[in-house]
Amino acid sequence: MSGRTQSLTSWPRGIVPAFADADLLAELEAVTLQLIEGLDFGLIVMDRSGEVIAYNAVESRRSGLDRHRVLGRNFFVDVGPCTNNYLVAERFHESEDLDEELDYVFTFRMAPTPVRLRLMARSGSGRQYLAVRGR
Amino acid sequence: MNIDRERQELLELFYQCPVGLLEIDDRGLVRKVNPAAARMLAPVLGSRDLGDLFDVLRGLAPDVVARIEKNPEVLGPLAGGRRVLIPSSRADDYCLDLTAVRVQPDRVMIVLTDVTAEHRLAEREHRIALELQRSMLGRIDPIASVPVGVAYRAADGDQQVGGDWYDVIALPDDRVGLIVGDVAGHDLRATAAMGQLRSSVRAVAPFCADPAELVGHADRFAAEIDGAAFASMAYVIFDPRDGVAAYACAGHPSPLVVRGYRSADFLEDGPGPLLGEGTTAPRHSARAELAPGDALVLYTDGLYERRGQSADPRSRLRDLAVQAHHLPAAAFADQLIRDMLAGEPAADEICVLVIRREPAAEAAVPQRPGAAAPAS
Repeated sequence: MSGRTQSLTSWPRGIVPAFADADLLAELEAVTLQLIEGLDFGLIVMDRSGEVIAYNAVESRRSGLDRHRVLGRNFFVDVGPCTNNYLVAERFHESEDLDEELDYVFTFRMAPTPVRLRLMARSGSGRQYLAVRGR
Repeated sequence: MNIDRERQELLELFYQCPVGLLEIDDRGLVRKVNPAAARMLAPVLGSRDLGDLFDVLRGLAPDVVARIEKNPEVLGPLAGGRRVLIPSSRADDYCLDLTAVRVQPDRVMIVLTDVTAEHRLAEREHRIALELQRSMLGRIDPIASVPVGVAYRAADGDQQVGGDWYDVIALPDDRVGLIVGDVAGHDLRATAAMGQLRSSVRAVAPFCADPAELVGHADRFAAEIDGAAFASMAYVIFDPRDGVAAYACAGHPSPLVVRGYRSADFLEDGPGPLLGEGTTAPRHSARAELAPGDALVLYTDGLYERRGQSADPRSRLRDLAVQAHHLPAAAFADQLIRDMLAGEPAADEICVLVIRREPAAEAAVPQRPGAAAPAS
């Protein structure tokens, strides 16, 4: 990944970060992607074009989508087309630096599923993050 | 296995469908929703959860909610082609096309199609049409000696452009040419024909000493210009020095002279067929005289074409004109349209032109405040 010299193999503060932690983006940027399996909320990691590069177990359980069906696909087009609008997809597209939350409705298994989203990206990084929590 | 695979494929179809699909019950509770529907409705949800579609639609299309709720026994289409505007925090609103079909008792399918691009294009075309029409609608030459007022009201509803026009033309010898006309039709074609006819008529007006002569020219113009045949117009040459109004009409409602608070008379002696009908019969002019303070009203037939009205509209127009007589010309024209519509929507576009013969300066009669105030 561009812009990162070294990935930590454990969380910087020694504890697993939570959805609403102020430093969540910084911590995600610092660590290796294997660590996201330990999070207690859903996390989708994409490259800056929206292609999924990591999809954690919590999100996989919520969506019912196997990670292998998701990896390498464009999230906004193929995986979560309900987010392909100005509220989510365009926010990533137009912001180099991004860290904001919003309420949203996913359509897992065709049922409306209210979620809280956190959209995160840092300029210069090759990754962008979509954190998902039920509400 | 095959059934599972078929089911999976069906789900994927539903999931990837670019058209928004929802299944709700008769109370609006959402049973199924696809991503496209969630994407389209997301801007209006805020922190709501899309569990209750009626809660969302009540603010956007309350009529659709009412139709579903009030007709629980009706199977089949409940709403179709209903345009719904989705307000956006961004610059432009979104526009959805909504269809509702009850597929089984207590099972209603909602189909949403994003028609934003089409809607924006239509809006732009409409704006252009309006601008074009307003720019051609009419012109008032500056004439110090005659107070002039014009009021225009577009039809309510979809037909917001049309073929009405007016003109106030400075003529030789301080006389004033007054025209109100109406090209048939409620579209850009009518507007374009009106613009050409209006310009042509205006250009020859200074060379016609007699109204019938100008209407005769207008006949030929209307026959030449695409879409202008069967237009109507009233033409008055008013001489502010002696108050004489010479006039001729071509299939147009008769001008009205409002004589103070006493009475009002239609000028009915100069009628003739519509323009461009191919008639060879000569046009006729007639004359009337305005006393100082009298007003002259030219108008299009939209003024008395109200939806579902049966009473004698001409008497009504006469009575209301007498009542509004004290107003300055522009306010008079406005008031007349308001009074005639009486709160009803305008079925057709309306154009009203009012002039007044100024009370003589040396007249001893006390003048009502504002009675002869210039229109602008």
